[in-house]
Amino acid sequence: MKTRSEYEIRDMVRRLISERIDEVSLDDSVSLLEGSSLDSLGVVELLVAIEEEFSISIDVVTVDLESLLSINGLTHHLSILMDQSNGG
Amino acid sequence: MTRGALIDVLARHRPQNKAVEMGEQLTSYEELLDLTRAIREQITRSAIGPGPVVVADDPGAGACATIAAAQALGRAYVPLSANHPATRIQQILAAVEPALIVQSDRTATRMAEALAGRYPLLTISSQLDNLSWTRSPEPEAGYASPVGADIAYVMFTSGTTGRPKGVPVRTESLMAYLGVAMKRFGVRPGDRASHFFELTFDLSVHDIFVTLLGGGTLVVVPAGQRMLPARFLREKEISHWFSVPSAAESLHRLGVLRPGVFPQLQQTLFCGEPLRWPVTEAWQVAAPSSRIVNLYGPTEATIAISHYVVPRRRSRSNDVYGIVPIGQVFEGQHSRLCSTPEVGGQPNRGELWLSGSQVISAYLNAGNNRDAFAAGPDDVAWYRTGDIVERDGHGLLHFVGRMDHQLKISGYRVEPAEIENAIHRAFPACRSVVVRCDRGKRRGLVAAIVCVDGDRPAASAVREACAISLPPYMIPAHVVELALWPVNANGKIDRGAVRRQLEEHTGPEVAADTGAKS
Repeated sequence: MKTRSEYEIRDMVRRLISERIDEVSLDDSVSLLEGSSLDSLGVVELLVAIEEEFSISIDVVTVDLESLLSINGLTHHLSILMDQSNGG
Repeated sequence: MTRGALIDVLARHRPQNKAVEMGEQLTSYEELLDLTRAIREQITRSAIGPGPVVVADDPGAGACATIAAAQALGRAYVPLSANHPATRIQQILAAVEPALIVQSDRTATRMAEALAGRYPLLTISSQLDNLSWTRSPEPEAGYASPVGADIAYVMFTSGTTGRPKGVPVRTESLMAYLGVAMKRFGVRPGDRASHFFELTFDLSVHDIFVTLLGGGTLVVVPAGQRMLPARFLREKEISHWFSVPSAAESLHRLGVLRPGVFPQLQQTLFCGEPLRWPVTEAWQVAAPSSRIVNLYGPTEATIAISHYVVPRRRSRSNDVYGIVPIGQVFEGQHSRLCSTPEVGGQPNRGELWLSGSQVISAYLNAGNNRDAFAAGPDDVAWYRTGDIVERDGHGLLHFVGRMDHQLKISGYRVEPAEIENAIHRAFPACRSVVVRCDRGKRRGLVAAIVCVDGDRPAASAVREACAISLPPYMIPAHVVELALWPVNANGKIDRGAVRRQLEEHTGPEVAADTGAKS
């Protein structure tokens, strides 16, 4: 699997989110459900797009959704998953 | 079962059994009964006039106790949501003229503007250990409420006129439903049942009454977990699940419905939207010990009026359009299909009409407007659902579609006209058409707009305008400007073509939904 830096992951997460909302800027720490126009359906579509883009699986059975659903939360979680996938 | 049954039954359950679980807050049946009696005492000791009790609270023990107290006093309850805009809440208050409002101090700040006014306001502390009058009742301040003494609750749904529409459900109707639901889908002590639905969604009535009458534990699903409730289902060891199919669709889409992932589930009920077979089969694999029941029913028919117990295999007879049948109406209720040229003129297909003890006879404050009701050939009053349904050779009903433009968003009924009116009020130079998109990048509720002059509103401005009067589920996720409306042969806007254009087209005539003025 391609190795990506946290900076690249954050940048890609921002891009995938920006394709789905129309806020000009979004604070990295703000909940996507509270701070953006993303609704629950939009969140699911975003997670599907992230899984495809990063070739990983986000296990919503175990993950804490409330801490996941921000740019910071997604970046952090994806960084861990990418590290694990690459044997880190 | 009689009115006041809930409080009587609460007293018969084991006092130390858990009645309601909301996060870390656990409320036993004894504590719930004490709170119910305390609320009832406050109301009976005060100078409260006739009329319904408004429940201005999030789901939880406080709301359950308020509802049980209202029921014991022979008053209807009317739920409000702290997530809804103040103007909408005030429209509802004006429509029902409540005797009092009961809120919790968890929702008090969020609802302060909406609840400002003249109605007595009783506040439950977040620890459920104190009741206080935030606004005391005034002697002889009672207002005439249009909600009669025979009404159990009033739910407000989206209305084509631009105002929420009140659906008053009689106690007789609720009792008829509970009689069937307790027998067919009941819970028992030791069962852990989900409380998925907001109080303003009538399926919450099932959550509360069926669980508490049965002596089970009602486990509140946190709002942030409703869209993807997998972790909740496992960690809370839910045995009885009830939700809209959207929740299962989301889990299926993310590949969560793996074999045996929900081993503890014994019963799953779905209602509020068409239930797709692929999702149902995936749920069967994920919850192998659970039976699955597809329920159907408009708010006007009291929670649900038909059901279909999903067999282990789909077949040609139960899979007509890739959708699980809505089955057969409950015993004592009646259905007929009214066939018209609009629905294709096929013999077994038509608009579904409903009648029986579960069906309302009029909307609140509707006056002589009875467009949704019709007299059948037998002079019985029927409710016209607007749903197009087929009846197969086994007598099973299959949902086919809608006769009008009504949409469903996470089970909520949405009349596009209500949203289009809100946009037009804010931006008179713009015409809008609101559709639901299920493909492409713009999914969910999408507003297409065409403006007659150069002053185009930003997408964010359109959504802000909607948020003034509409609940969150009615605010478009996307706002897209079109150059021209696609029209049909009669010159009318072709909504299907608008939807297809939004789902498929990325060309230049569809402006990017960036909100930029162009």
